[in-house]
Amino acid sequence: MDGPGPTDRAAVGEGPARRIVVIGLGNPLLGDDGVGWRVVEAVEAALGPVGLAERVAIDRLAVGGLRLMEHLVDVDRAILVDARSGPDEDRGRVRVEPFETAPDAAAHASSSHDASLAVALAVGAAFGARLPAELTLVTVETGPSFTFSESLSPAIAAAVPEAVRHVLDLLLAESPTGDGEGATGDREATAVPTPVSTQRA
Amino acid sequence: MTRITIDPVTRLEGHARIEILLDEAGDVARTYFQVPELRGFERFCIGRPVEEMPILTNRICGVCPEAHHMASAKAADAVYGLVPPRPARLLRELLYSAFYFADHTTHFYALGGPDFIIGPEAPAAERNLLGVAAKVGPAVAGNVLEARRAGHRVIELIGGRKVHPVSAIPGGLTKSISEAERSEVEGLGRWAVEFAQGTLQLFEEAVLAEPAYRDLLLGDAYADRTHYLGLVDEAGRVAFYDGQVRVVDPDGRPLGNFSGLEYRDWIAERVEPWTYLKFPYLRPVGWRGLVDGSDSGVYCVGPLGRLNVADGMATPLAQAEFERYHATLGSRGPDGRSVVHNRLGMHWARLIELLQAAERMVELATDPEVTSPDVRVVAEAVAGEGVGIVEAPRGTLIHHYRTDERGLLTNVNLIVGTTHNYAPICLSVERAARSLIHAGSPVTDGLLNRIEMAFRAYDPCFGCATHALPGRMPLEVTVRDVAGAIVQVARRD
Repeated sequence: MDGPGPTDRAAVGEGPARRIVVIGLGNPLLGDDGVGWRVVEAVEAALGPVGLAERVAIDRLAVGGLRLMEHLVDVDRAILVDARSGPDEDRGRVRVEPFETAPDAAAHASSSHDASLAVALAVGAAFGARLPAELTLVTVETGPSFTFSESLSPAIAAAVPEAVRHVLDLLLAESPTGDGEGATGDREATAVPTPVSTQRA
Repeated sequence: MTRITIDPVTRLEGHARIEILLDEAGDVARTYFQVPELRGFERFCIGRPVEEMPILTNRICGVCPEAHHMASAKAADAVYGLVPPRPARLLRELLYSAFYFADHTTHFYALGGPDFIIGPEAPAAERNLLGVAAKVGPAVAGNVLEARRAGHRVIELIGGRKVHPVSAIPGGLTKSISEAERSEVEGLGRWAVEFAQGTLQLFEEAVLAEPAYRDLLLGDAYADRTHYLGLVDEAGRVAFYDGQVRVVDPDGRPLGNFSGLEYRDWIAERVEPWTYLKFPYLRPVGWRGLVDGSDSGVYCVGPLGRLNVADGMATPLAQAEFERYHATLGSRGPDGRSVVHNRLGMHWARLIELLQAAERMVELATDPEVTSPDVRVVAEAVAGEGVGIVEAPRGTLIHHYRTDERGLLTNVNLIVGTTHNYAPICLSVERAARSLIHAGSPVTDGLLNRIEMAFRAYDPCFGCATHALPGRMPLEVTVRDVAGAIVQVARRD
């Protein structure tokens, strides 16, 4: 069948340079759920002194699934900072891991038709999007957070500096010449970093 | 009594679920659709300056921040007694049209797509977005991403950010747009019109031309004869950003229009003991329980409601589709007005709105005043109370603020689209369950999907979009006997 829309697509936001983004996820109005936003705010302030301000884009988002995937299109390297809900004894624990090992991560599904990020990335690849070759999660363990507040609890606030250090370490480990994987700017879809057959769409 | 539970959205704490209670014979006795509610947001806002609300409310959730941003800005306009200059109203509506275009695109391809493009009885493993991408092919799939990107680009140009826009303030906008930006928006709008027309063509081929789908669209399993409610412009046409709210009865007869504070004369809320969420209903008609009909105050909002209350669409290409839609799905009331009651018609109605949104982008972007720098009036006094009403993609969105003499909030009330639709969603789920589950028949995955289709048509959104990970949305169906023991479990992750 004929597809909707013309064939000459608008070219928006494409560029040859290796694109590195750090995204704080969560709802900044839901107490500890907003820790990702607080971490990337501190990262943003620290980028200048370490000479990375020009190379790294910072964003704060309260979205997940498909919408988050769209923010990763044409990005080469992404670091997602998020709250992770786990047992109480782990509150404040900071973890760094590749997305492949945390398939439930950054789900933030809100409605009956959204997808987990893993599924959304697979969908994006199937739809022809170029997605990050490297996707890393930096998470802070929090309890469930369902009280409206703009403040972090003391245990979570105390974990912010460690999370910031991890993000900066990841960024400083980047090749200064920007010739890493995925930097060629071609339009081929990159490998999706996690198998999707076990995920619900 | 046997109990079947469908969990469409599971969160860490509380989740929406459908409970289907069977009688001794195995037929459906009763269904419950329970929705979690993240309470306390209104209270959280008390004491804040009202001008913060357009920024604050668009972070309530990640699904329709633009709708909250605009409803909030309009309510704040009213609190200060301000009417934004025409160029500001043009730009707000332009941003809003782009948001509609992006949001309706997502809904059709991500939600309607799995139900309609793949097939309601297809295996769950194929009935997903990946299946849609495979079915429509890479050219269409690529255009879906481009459509989303076009919408977000316009939102960014006018709103300052791709999501969670920041530019609407009491009295107008913080910035105007340049001629170069206007030209870019016009180009994206013209592309959007072609995309919307192509999507309607896809709907024609994949849905309307397929007998099985046509039967679902024309049959009774998804039809509820409720009242309808939605915004119309001064000519009675479908409006998204501004207008009067019109209410019609199940025969399409207008019961009246309202705006601003008058919403309280029309909408009342019913509390039921089995759910946290309240059921809004039409105050002049009254509450008769979860039933449809002319004497039940249950009403429906969203694409179906908007295309039932309006006399037509606001743009020419969408108008032609509107006429075809009503000729195909509508039933005529005593006054000759056409009304569409089949909830699956919402998917078609949504695509007609997609086309109107795209056409409006072009109309607004080519208005001679759209690049005017006159985009703001400054407040001189606080009026103290104001209501902002927009049509969110999922239905009418009402923000009502009251402030003290300094403009600090003393009372906040929000009524969102999915809340308006709570009662009709319950009705639709029960009707679908009754028509599909019968004594002795097995509860199959495809059958459960057809019950889910009843509520997915509404594009329900469970507000609290953002929560800490891990988050999953498994669908779980549990059949229990009278004693509560599990006799059957169906689950898909």
